[in-house]
Amino acid sequence: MSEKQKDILSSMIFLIIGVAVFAYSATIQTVIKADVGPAFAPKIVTMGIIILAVVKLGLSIKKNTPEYTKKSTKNENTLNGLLTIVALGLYVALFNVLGFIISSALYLFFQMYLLMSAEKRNYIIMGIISITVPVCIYFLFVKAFSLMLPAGLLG
Amino acid sequence: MILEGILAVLLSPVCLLLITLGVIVGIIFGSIPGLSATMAVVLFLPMSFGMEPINGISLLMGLYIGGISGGLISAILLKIPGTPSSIATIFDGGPMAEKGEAGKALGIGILYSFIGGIISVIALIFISPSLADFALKFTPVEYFSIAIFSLTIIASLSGDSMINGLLSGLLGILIAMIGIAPLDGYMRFTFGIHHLTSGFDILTVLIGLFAVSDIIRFSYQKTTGQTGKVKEYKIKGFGVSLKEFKEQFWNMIRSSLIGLGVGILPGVGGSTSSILAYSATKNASKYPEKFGTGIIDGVVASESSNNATTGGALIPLLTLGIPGNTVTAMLLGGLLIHGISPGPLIFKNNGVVMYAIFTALIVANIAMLIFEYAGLKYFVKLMDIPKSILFPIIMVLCAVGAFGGNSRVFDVWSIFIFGVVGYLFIKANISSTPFIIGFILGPIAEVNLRRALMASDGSLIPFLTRPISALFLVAAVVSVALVVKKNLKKKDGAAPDAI
Repeated sequence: MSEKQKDILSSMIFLIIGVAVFAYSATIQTVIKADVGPAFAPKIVTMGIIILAVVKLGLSIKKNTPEYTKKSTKNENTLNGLLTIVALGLYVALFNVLGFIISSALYLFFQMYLLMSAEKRNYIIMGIISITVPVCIYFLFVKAFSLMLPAGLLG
Repeated sequence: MILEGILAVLLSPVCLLLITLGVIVGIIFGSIPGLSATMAVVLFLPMSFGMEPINGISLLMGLYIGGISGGLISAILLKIPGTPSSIATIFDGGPMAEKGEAGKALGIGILYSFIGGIISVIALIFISPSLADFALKFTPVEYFSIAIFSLTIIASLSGDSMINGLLSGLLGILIAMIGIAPLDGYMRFTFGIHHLTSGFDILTVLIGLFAVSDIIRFSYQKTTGQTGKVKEYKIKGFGVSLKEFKEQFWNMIRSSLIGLGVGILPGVGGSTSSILAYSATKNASKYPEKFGTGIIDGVVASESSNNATTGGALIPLLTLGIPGNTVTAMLLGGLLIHGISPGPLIFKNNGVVMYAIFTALIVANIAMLIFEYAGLKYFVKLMDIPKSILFPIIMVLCAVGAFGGNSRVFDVWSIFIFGVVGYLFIKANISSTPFIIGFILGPIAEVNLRRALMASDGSLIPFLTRPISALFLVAAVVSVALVVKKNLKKKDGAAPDAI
């Protein structure tokens, strides 16, 4: 995506958020009589967002310098990135179900697998880290810092 | 009260140990590029939950001081700033290392970090009581205007684009509105989800935007973050002779004062202060052409100013409850968790804690001087730990931190959501800092605006007739106008970059 496309897309998203929240704010009622009400601030803020988004959109459409419209050639590892987001989502979803230790161990292993280059992967070290880190954190926080963490399947 | 606060830190071995631990961990986080002081505080906040307030807060202060100073190690040895605050240290620290003077540069960096830090703590001790006294006179009108001023200055100084900064800040304010509205208790934007009743926890927003987003960004990179070769160094003493110390005296004072002033201004932060101090020193120098070739003046300016920012940034945080940067925003969270609400009454309500904080800061600076110097060898080694192992572990700690506050998985979902939002911000070249400051200051601005309007029967006149309020509003307009002018000027030139 070029910088221009990025700016146009982000200003459109801000514009949509602004308009949607502004419209929704209209349904908020005032409770205290002398007060400007709970809808006052959201309306001002969303108006600001709408105005700025429109200005940004206009400026990005108008601007046409070569570097601005050039598609970025940064080589990114899109698959790795997307898989990381999926892994994070799964980790959170399973956090309570499997418990802290198991969900963290699975997440750690998979995330290290993703981030390490193939030639540097050492499955034994990855396995040891994936198990010892969550176990240590669990006991440290639960016993020493009296924090609650979900025990899940091991509970 | 004063003595009680000081002794609470000095006579407690646990507290001294926690400060030292904080400083050491802080230096590690500061020295590894990609990890920051903010991240260190984020990860240790949940540990501080279960501690005595003074112990917990002292730990956080240690992390803060160590985290800002640690950046100089990688700035000099790798030419990569370990934290954004140490950007200007590279300008001369890097060339010094190339000339074989890495040890001298490190020694000077550590020494002047300490001096800058101590000067700022002294300023904090003397300025904050009088500022708190002064702030007692503030009404909702003044608080609203200060919040607006802080928001505009942050937006206008965030990155290259003011529009992006303002959008980010406004979105932060909007997200902070989710949940119970102030004054009337009206449920706003909760859409029937009961977890949203009290809105998003500030901690989860910070963890998401400043830690999780970095992990996502790292996973998108093709190279596995190999940071290059660490320069050889030999360290002997602090690398500065008495003659050099005398020569650098005014540089040190000027840079510390710049750092302090920048710290007090909301949202500007250490990176700006080190660059400002560097250019001020260069402009005042008799030999400006030598800057960038590896002279100690540059290292002194950068390191004394960025560490002076630490104490400066605590002044508005403690006396007004307004955090100036992301680390102090985290510290605000830490203080609130321990039942300490920063504001003009803090000396009255939590006097002992205040003096304990001052003492902890001095101890932390001394610990930083000793341990950063003595442990340099080990910190340098730790810079080699692969990020592919570090980042996943940090993510697990982030989840613990998010869950630990309220024991709900909803908060873990929040860090995931804000992590993705933070990554999208990075992709769209939008800074997250205004978002956080908006998130914190938005509610302050709203509640004070509504209170003030109720008191004045809806009239806006008091905002302009009360001198302090008017001053801040004018300053807000001027700061925006200056940036707009600067951007328009740029537009006329070769590189149109106004948006």
